[in-house]
Amino acid sequence: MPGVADFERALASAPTIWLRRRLVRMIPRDWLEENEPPDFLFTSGKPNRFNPDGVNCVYFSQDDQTAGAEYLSYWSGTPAEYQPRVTYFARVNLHRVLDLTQPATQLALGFKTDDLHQPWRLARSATLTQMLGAAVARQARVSAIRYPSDAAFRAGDAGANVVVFRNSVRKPDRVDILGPNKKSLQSWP
Amino acid sequence: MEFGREIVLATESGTKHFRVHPPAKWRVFHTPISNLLQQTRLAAITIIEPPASADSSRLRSLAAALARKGFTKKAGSHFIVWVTRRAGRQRNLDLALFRPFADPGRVEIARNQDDIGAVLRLLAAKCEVLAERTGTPRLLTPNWRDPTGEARATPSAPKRASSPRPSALEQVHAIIAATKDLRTPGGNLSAAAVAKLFGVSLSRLAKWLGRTRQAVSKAPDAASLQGELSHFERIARLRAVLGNSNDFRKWLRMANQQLDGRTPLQMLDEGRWQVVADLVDDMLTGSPT
Repeated sequence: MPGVADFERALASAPTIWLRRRLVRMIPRDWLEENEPPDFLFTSGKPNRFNPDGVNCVYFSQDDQTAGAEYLSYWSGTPAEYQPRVTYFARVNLHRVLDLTQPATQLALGFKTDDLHQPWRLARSATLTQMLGAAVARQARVSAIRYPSDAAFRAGDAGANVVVFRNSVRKPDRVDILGPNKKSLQSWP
Repeated sequence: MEFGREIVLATESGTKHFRVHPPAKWRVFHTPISNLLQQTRLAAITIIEPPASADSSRLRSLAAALARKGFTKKAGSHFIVWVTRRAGRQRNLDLALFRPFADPGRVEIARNQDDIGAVLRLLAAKCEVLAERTGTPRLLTPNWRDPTGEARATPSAPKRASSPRPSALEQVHAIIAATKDLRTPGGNLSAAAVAKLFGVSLSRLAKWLGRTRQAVSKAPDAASLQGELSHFERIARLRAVLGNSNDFRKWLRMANQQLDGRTPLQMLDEGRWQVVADLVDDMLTGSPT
């Protein structure tokens, strides 16, 4: 199994795309108060599919449908499944993004499709995807990864998510959390 | 460059304290002084505001205890700010607050609200410059965890931090209010209230905490339990959405796709509290996986 250093070397020449679009996140409305939005660019280094503990990044879905699938992966079967929801948007302009929905990118990094859907929450050591994230956080060429959403995959769709790495976002790249009238509420860098 | 722009405000539970307005991009975490003494990792800036009733000997012993913890001794850029409203014989008190520390240059004293703001602005700037000089992107603790250090885990349980990692929801009133009933009037979390909400016996909760039932029963809101109980408070935040306690208890006992088909309660039995706390945080903030 390749390690972080192997991925770091592979990143130097891996194919990338320019991602300039609006990304989405869906949350339950119940606790949200208009004048008190959460800090969506807050990063605690909490592990997720593409980052081990201590690597700071944020995750978004690429469209509403995928955000909806992600939402249901948490709340399906609970009394809150059909409660009102709120959608948040981020606008990103990222010049070099690894697109793991593309076979060529998977091939360049030695990933198989199954690797992208491996469970990670209960893993006792870093998963392959988390090691790739750790490698991305250590360099500045690539600032984000686009990858197939596991929730959408389980729902029979082909949606994608995007993870943006805090340390790797450098000007002219930019991430904005959008408020009313597309006003930027928060931004990186 | 990224580093932990974190300020920890340590006060005595239930006492009135000054408000701390952090400089831009900095965050403030609040903790009881007793928890501060348990932590092994330092935030960039630690503000300590002892109760107004604390006499000189209490302040001296507190300073000595913090110095023993290695504050200002460890490499990095960690600063301490004492907040004391005491007037008169200030020179002696100042000396007492500086003297125990290996590097008194990293200790400041503020006496009022304005002082705190001014000192914080200067220290934040110092931290930024020190980070630039060393060229260390993570010069300051990037993920301050309330009172840190590893809990006394049972042999089968994984090691875990004694308090959960910071969350984006820390400042959201509705989320914090959802767990208000887990606290005693003094402000401490109560093990008895946690056990009741989670639908488990006090013995079972005590086992999770690595304590005896008698000890937890005798002092369910003890300061020494606060860090560990914070995990359960994080998990209980789910009630901000699920609404009532019965639905929350049902959720704890439902097989969860995010946990590979296991129940959150099984995870708690195994000591993997942070995993469940992270899951709840992801649910509330809608973080895709």
